[in-house]
Amino acid sequence: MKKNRKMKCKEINDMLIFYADNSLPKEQRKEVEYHLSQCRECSSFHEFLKDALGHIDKEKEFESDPFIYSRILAAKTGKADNSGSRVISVLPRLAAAAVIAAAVAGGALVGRLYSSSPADLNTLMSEETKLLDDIKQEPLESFLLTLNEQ
Amino acid sequence: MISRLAEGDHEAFRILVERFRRKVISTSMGFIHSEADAEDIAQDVFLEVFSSIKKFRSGSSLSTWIYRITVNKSLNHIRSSKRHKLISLFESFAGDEDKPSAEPASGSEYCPDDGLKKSDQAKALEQAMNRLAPNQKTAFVLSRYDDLSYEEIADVMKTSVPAVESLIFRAKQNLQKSLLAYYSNNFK
Repeated sequence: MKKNRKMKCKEINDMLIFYADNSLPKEQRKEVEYHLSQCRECSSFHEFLKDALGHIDKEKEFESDPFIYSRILAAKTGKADNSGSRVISVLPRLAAAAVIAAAVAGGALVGRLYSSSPADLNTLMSEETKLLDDIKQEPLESFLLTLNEQ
Repeated sequence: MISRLAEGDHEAFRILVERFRRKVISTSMGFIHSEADAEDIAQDVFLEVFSSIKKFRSGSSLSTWIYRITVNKSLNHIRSSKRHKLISLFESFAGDEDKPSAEPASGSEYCPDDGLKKSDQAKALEQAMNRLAPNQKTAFVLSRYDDLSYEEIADVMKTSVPAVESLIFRAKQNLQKSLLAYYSNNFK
């Protein structure tokens, strides 16, 4: 009985927006009206739905600024004045892009100047650093194993 | 009137603004739900009309063309405000957790006559409409906010009347689901 009632409420709820909009056929309207007279929950949701949709009418009735034409004219004039400064507004962005490109190129150049061949590096390394480098090359698992054994 | 507008006749432009002002703002409100933003969009629409009037083809009506511009400007506004919301979401992680929640207390019964609850209806409607796909929202707004016929909506959206009927039907179904979910979360 409860399950049937829940299904009935679900069916009715699915139709409620069409009922609120007066777009249901006559027979279905009667069915919805009868259910709403018997079911408090569905009736409450129906009230909420009506009020929410009723908000559309409030938004439609919004009294806009009667002087909007003056604002549009002012904006139109302002746009005409600003069209010449468009080029100027692009310049800072171009300058920023140029600075970034120069920094990248400069970094690459510095890197090239200070880079050495692997053979030169080896001769500079002390014994200690050579050992550390070996650790880097050793797989971690074997390093941990030897540590545990100790 | 179109030839006068194309010549830059300000008086013709003023008449056009007066004639279409309410329709443009009403349409924008259906998408944006903000009076200030709707007026800004209206301003952009009329500026676009004035600057593009020479491109207007007399095949379609002037009102259809203006509705199309309004719909496009409104949808673009929604897209750009979504981007801004993403940015403010990142900013909120930097610590605005102390802001009071705007959600109503859950479990309270819905009382239609209670003035305090009126903002729930507006909020519920706005959230439900924001969840609609752009084409469903467009068809619903043009139908419900502008009272256009299905033929007129089909003209604006460059589609068929059956397609418009289907879009509006699905829009209503989805609105129903969203409003029921809102109601269940806040008033049951």
